[in-house]
Amino acid sequence: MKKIIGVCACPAGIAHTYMAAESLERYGRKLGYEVKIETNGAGGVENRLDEDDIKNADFVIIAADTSVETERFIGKPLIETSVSEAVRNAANIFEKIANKDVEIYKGGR
Amino acid sequence: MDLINENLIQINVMLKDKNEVINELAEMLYNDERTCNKEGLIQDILKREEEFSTSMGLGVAIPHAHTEHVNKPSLIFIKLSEAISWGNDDNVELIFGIANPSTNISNDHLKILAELARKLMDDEFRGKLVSIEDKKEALKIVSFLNNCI
Repeated sequence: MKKIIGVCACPAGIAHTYMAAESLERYGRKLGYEVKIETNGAGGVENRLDEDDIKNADFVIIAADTSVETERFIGKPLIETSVSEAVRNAANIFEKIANKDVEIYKGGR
Repeated sequence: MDLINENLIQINVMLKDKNEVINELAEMLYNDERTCNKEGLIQDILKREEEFSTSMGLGVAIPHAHTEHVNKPSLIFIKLSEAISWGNDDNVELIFGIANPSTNISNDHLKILAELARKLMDDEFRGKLVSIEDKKEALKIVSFLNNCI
């Protein structure tokens, strides 16, 4: 099973962050992926991605309206998007993954 | 000590904009003896709105405040008869108001927000909300949030 990991982060508080995480988790699982999403909200970091999660991941989704630590994802196929896109349009994000329309993250942002 | 009761629910009510909704929230909390300072409460909710709009993008807004002007954690549910514009969402029909006393250091409002936010991504749950016809039904559907406090 392909594994997708991600980070959702929103400066506006926690509600959007959780909605984005839930949206990606639901949609990904519906398509048969294993999904783990870290949330960086006003409540701090939850469900933190560990080294194994990152090592075993096939794709990374960053849905953030603020900066998140991305150096840890260097070398991984990574999609960057906004929190609202993850909430409203998870289908688009997963379509890019299905089409392999994803670049390898090289860091240095 | 319930988070929500039928006094804190309105179904198919007509309110024309965000300010009317927030005034109504304060009025409902006042009538249920949860605040004795409507004006102070309104100001606290508006202040939070100014920092960042609480419209969620799916026809739902969650105005909220951690405020000295309520005496217990409270949840309000309003289903509007006609959608209104709210922040960057011009089609808000469902309102969840959350007020948590500032004396309550347990951040109950954040727990409620988190639980509600995740649940809102469930199409079936949103479908149930928009088809609610009366207060009793509404209370049943949102009562799971009582477990957050």
